Amino acid sequence: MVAHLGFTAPKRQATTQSSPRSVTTVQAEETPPLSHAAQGGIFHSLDLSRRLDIIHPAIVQTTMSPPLPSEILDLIVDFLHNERDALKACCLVSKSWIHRTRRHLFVHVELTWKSRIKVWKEMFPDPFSSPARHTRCLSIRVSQVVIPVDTGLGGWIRTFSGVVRLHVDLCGLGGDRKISFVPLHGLSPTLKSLRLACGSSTPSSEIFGLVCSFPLLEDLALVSLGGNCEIDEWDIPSTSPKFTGSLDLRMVGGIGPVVHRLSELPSGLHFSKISVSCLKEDVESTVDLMSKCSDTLESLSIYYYIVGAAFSFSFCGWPTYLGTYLWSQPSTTCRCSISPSSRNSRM
Amino acid sequence: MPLLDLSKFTKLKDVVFGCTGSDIQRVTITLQTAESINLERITIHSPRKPIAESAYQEWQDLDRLLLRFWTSRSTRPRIRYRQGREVCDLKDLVPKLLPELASRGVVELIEIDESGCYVVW
Repeated sequence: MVAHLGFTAPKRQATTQSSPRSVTTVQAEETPPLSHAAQGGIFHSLDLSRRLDIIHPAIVQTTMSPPLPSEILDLIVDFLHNERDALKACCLVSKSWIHRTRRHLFVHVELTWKSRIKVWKEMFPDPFSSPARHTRCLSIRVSQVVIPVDTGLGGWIRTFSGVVRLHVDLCGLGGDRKISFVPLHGLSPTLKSLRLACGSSTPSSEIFGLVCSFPLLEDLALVSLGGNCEIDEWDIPSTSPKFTGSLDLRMVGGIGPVVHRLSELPSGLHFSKISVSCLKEDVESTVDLMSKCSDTLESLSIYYYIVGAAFSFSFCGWPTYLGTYLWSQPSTTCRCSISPSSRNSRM
Repeated sequence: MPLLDLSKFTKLKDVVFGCTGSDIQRVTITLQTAESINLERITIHSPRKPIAESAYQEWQDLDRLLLRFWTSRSTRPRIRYRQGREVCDLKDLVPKLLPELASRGVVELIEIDESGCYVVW
């Protein structure tokens, strides 16, 4: 219909009936030279933007119609998932690019110090527009500081509701301070991997209360620097995760108490991979643990401690916290650190 | 000290022993119980200390056992070592510790990757 219209008065009628883009396309073919159009009196009643649409169809083509479909742009951004600098640059290109780049920029978030937590809160005050929903791997280090700060700020940490891997670290400053993990209970219903590094004074009820709050949990890693994990009273939950993935236990004080708690879980243990770093006195517990997974166990790693000996071991991409420890991350994740200097950047 | 009995674990594909040289007899005894026909890999961490003369015999027992696994089930033996520290020594050491396997070129040396952590305490 639009194509039949000439460059005459009825054309204005057509612009109100048709979509602006289609009209613009047709006009691009039929619009006379600029000087001629500017002389015509029919544009006097049109608003300025509409007039510009007609006069400069080429400009409209570049601003209104993206040169590539959004699916292709998304694909390009996805290819850059490991290129953090490139992703940051993409974020500054256009608002329409922000959503996709955030999916990669914030896939792994580390919450460490109090100042950084406040920066996050200042940058993303609205939980609904926060990139927290894009996070798949969340590391909460120095949790004895982070969790109380989060509680004081209104519990915004729960906006990380799509996390698949959670790393809670109580080691570091004040690692022996008692802390409640209740604010983290059920943080993400899709959580599949939990790693917990804690001090010796963390009660096992706190540890396993957190563990059992994630129904789809498959992988569990528990690391303790201190002595024996404290066995306290707890109500055995009616349900527990099925644990079909890997179990990694690194307890300097012995794995016995943890194995005891694990054996109490109602859904049983179905780990396919077990890695145990233990004292020689723990062999009995190890045997007990393995026997509970005899139908599913495919991979077994055993590391013996000898106090005073030098040890090395690989840790499947997770950091370790025994003695002098170094921090390392899986190479496939894109780490995100928020610092005060990044406040002005659009991410 | 109780020993691990691997005979019940029929789906076992991969076994890793991180130990010092003095534990090698324990590794051998444990592996003797492994009956899984699915066993694909046996990984042992390289010794971190100089090996005593008496321990060489224990390593050679392990050598024979691993060779049996290799010939009967194609189970690949691997020695894992720490990055940048033991590489030179290890090439000399492996033929002494595992002569049968080394002569057949079966032993695979695995470097602990960057994601591993090295702990000294």
